[in-house]
Amino acid sequence: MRNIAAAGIAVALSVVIGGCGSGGSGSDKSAVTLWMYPVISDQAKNKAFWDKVEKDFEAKNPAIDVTIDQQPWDGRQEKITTALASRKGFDLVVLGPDQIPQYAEQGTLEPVDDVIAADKSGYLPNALTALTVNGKLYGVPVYQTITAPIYNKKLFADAGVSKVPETLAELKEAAPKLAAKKVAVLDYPGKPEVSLNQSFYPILWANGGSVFSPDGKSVTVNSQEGIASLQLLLDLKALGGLPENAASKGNDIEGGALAAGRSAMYHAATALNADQLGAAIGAENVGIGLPLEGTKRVAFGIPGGLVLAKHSENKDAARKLAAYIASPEVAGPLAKESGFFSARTDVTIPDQSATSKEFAKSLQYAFPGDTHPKARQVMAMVAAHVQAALIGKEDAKTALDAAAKEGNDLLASGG
Amino acid sequence: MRDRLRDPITGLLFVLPMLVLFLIFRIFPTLGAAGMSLTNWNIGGEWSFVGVDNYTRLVNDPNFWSSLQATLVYTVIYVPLVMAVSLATALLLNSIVFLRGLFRGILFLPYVTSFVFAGLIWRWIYEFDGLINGLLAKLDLGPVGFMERAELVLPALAVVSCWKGFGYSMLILLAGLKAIPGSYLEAAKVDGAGPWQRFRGITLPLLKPAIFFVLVIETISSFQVFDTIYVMTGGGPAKASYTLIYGIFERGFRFWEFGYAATWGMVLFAIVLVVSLIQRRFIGKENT
Amino acid sequence: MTMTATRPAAVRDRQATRPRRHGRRWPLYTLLAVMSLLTLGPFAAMVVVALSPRGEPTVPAQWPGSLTLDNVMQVLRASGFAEWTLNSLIYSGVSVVIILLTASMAGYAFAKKRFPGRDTMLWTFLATMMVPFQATLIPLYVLVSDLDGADTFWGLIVPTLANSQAVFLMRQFILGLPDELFDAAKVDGASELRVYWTIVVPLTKPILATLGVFVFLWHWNDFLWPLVISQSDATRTLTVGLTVLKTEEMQWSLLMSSAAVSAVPCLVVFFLLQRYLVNSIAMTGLK
Repeated sequence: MRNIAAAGIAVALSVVIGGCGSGGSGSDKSAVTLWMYPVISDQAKNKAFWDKVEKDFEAKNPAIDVTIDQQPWDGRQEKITTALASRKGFDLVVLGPDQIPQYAEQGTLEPVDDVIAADKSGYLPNALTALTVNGKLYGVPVYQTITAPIYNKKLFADAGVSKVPETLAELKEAAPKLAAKKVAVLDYPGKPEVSLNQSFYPILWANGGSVFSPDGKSVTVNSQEGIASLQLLLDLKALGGLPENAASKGNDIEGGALAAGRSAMYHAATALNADQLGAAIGAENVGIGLPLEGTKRVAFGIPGGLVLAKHSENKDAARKLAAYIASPEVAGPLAKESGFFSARTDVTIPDQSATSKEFAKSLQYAFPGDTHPKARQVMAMVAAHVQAALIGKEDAKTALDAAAKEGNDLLASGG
Repeated sequence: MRDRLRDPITGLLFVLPMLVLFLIFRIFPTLGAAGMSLTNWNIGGEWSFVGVDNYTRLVNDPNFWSSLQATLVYTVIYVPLVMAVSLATALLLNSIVFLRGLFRGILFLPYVTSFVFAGLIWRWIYEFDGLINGLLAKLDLGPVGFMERAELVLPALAVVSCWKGFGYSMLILLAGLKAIPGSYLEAAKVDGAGPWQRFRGITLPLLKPAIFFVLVIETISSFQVFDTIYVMTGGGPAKASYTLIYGIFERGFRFWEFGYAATWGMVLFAIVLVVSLIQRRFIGKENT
Repeated sequence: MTMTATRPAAVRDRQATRPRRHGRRWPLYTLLAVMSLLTLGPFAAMVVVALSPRGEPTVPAQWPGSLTLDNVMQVLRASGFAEWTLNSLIYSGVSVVIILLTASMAGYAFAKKRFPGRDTMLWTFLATMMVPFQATLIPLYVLVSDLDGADTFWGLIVPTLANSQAVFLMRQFILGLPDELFDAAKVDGASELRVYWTIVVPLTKPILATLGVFVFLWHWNDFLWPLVISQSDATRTLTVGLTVLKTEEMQWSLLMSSAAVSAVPCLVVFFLLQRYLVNSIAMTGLK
C-alpha cells in the first residue's frame, strides 16, 4: 500500500525533477556499509583508523566494497530507527546491549552466532552474554566499556578523610566531614537524560537489588534493596553529601561541580571522565577506585557490538567485515586508540595509559545493566520517581512503589 | 474584471509549485502518520490495524494528561511573554533612527545561536551558584532551584525560549511597522493625537495582519517546544516539564511505539488547530 | 505610480522622524542598551569559552589563564569541514532562492486572487505546520528513500521547500498592499508575471529580505532532517558534521568553538541583507 503510493509519486516526481536521482553503481562487488561512531575522540585519528580498516579489509577481500560512514552520537536514536524502519542505510552498525533486545525482538536484526563460532573462547563471556537475546547472539563484540569511581583525593584529605570511600557505608560516613567544608561527597547526576546506569542503578546493584525479576516478568526496583539504595541517596542529601542541584544536574565533568572542586567523587565515571577531571584539578589529585561495595561490587560496563541489519543485501560480506573488525588485528589497536577496552581475552593492548590500566581492574565486575526489551521504558519511569524523591516530593518507598507499579502495568499490558 | 477566468487560473498557477511540494512532502507524510496512529506498527515488520485502540489508550494514559497540562501551562506563559517582548522591542527599534541597525542586529543574535548553546548559558544563569541566585543572595534571598522546583521550571523554560526566539517575531513586527505609511501617523499628530492614541488608533489596527501571523506561529512553536526542554531538563523534575512533543519523541524514538507516538502527534495537531482557529476568530477574519 | 512607490528610503525616514529630537530618546536608548547586554553577554561568554584551553577552568567559574585558537583551528581543520560548509551553503542557498520565489508567488495568489478552494488550501497549508515533525519523520523518510532520495541533494533539499510559514508570511504582507496598484497595472495591460515581477517583488523586498534571513537560518541550523537523510560526507551539512566531532564526553571549549564557527555565516548573511531590512515597504506616496 505504502509502496504503491510511493511508486505513483515516484513517477510524478521523476517528471518534475528529471534525472537528478542517483542510479545504482552497477558493479559486481558486494557493497557493505558500516555506520561507525566517534569511538576515538580525536576526529582525525578516528578517520585515519577506520580508513585503514577499510583499506586493509578490501585488500584481503577484493570482491567486497566497504563504506565506513562516521555518524554523530547526537540524534543516534532517530537515525538508526529511521534506517531500520525504512530498511535502508547500514548493513552493520555499532549498538550497545541496552538497545539490542528491542530491535531483535521486533525482527529487524540478524543473529551473528556464526561469526564468532570459530573462536568463541577468545571473547569476554560477559560481553557475549550481554549481546545475546533469547539464546542468539545479535552483536559481534568489538570493544568493551567500563565505569569506576573517580575521586578528588585532595578534597578528602583536606576534610580529614584519610582513605577515600570504597564502600557505600564509607561513602555515607565521609559525607558530613566533607559537607563541613562545603563539599558534596557524591557528584550524583539526577537529570533524566543521564542514564540510570550511570547514576542510581550501580548503587542498586551493589546493594544486591535488580530492576527486573530474574524471569523478566515483573519490575522489582521497589525491593528492600531498592528502597535502601534510594534512602542512601536521600540520607546523603540530608547530610549535605549531594550537590544542591543533584536532582537536575548532568554528568559532564567539564564545567561541572567535580571539576570546580565542589564535589568529591563520582561513582560511575568513564576513563575519559578521569582524564578530563585530571585536566581540571591536576592528574595527581585524581584517584580511581574499584566499584563501590555494598553487598557486592558491580560496575556498569557494556560491550559495543556490531549488529547486522535484517534488511542487508550482502549478509555474508557483512559477516566477514564484522569478523575482521572483531579480530585481534583490529581489536587491539582500537582499544588503545579509543581508550575503551578489548572485548577479547586474547588481546594485549599496546602502551595502555595509566588511567586505562586502573579502569581495567574493574572489568571483572562488568555488568551490562538489566537487558530487557522494556528496560528503557522502565528506566524512564524510575528516573522520574527517583528525581521526585530527590526534590523531596516523594519518600523512597512511595517513589519506588509508584515506579514499580507503572512498570508492572506496562509489562502486564504487553505493550 | 475584463476576464472572469483570468484570476482563478493565474491564482492556481501561482500556487501550483508550492501546492505540488505540499501534497507530496507534507500532506502525504501527514496522512501516513494518521494511518500509523491506527496501527500497532513499530520498527519491525509485523503490524496490524488496531482501530481506535491507540486513542482509547491515550485517553486512559495519565502521562498524556499530565503532559497536556504541562504544554498548556507553558503556552499560557510563553505566548504572552514573547508577544510582549517582541512587540516592545519592535516598537522601540521603530522609534529610533540613530544606531537602529546595530541594536537590531544585537537583539537578533540569540535567534542565530543553537539551542544547545542557549540551554548551556541559561543553566549557568539558573544554577544555585549562578547569576540570578547570586543577585538574590545580595538581597538575602534564595537560593532558588529553578530547575528543581516543579512550579518554577515551566516559567523558567519559557524565559529561555523567549530569549532564544523573540528576535524572529521582533523582525516580523518591525517589518509590519515599517509598512505603516508615515503620513498616517504624521496626520494624526497634526490632529493632536498623543503617542498612545496614535498607537491604539493607527499602529495597532494596521499591524494586525503581522500580529496575527506572529501569534499563530508562536502558539504553534510553543505547543511544539522540544529542544529547550531536551537540553535543559529532560522533562524533569518529576515530569513537570514533560510536554506533548517530548512524549512523542520518547514514545517514538526511545520506545519504538510508532503507532502510539503518531496518535499523540495527531491529537497534538488537533489541539493546535483548534487553538489557531479560536485565535483567528478572536482577531477577526478581515485581518487574517 | 511605481516611481513614487520606490522613493528612496532615506527621504522617507527623514520625513517620518524630522520633528523628533534625540534628546528625548535617552530612556529608549538606555532600555535598548540593557536588552543588548542580555543578548551580547552570553555571546561574549561563548567566544571566551571557545578560546579557552581545553579542559582548563574557564567562565563562568573563573577567567581563563590564557586564550588560544587551538579549538577553533581543530574545528576548521576537521576532515570534511570544507565539504560540509559547501553542502550547507548549497542546502541553505538553493532553499532560500526557491522558497522566496515559490512562497511569494503563492502568497500573492492567496492574498490577491480569487480562485476556488483558496481558503481551504491556505488553511491546509497552515495546518500541516501544526503536525509535529517527529510524527511525520518516518513516513517522510520512507517516501524520500523509496524515491532514491537518501544521500542525494534533491532528497535533502526538495522536501524542506514545502514551507507553510513562508507562504503565510508573504500572504500576510501582500494582503496589506493596496488593490489599486494591481488594478492599475492590469488596466495598462501588463501580464500577470509582469505584475508579479514589477509590483509584488519590489514592494515586498523588506519582507523578502527578512524571510531570506529566516530561511537561511532555518536550513543552516536544521539538524534532524539532514541527519537522517544524509549518510555520508557527500551530502552532510555543517551542523550535522560538527556534531561528529563530539565524543560521548562533553568538551565545552570544542562545543562552543563549533557553535561560534557555524554561527559566522548566519551573521554574515544577516548583515548583508541588513540594508534591505532598513527599507520600509514603499508606499508612503499612496493615498
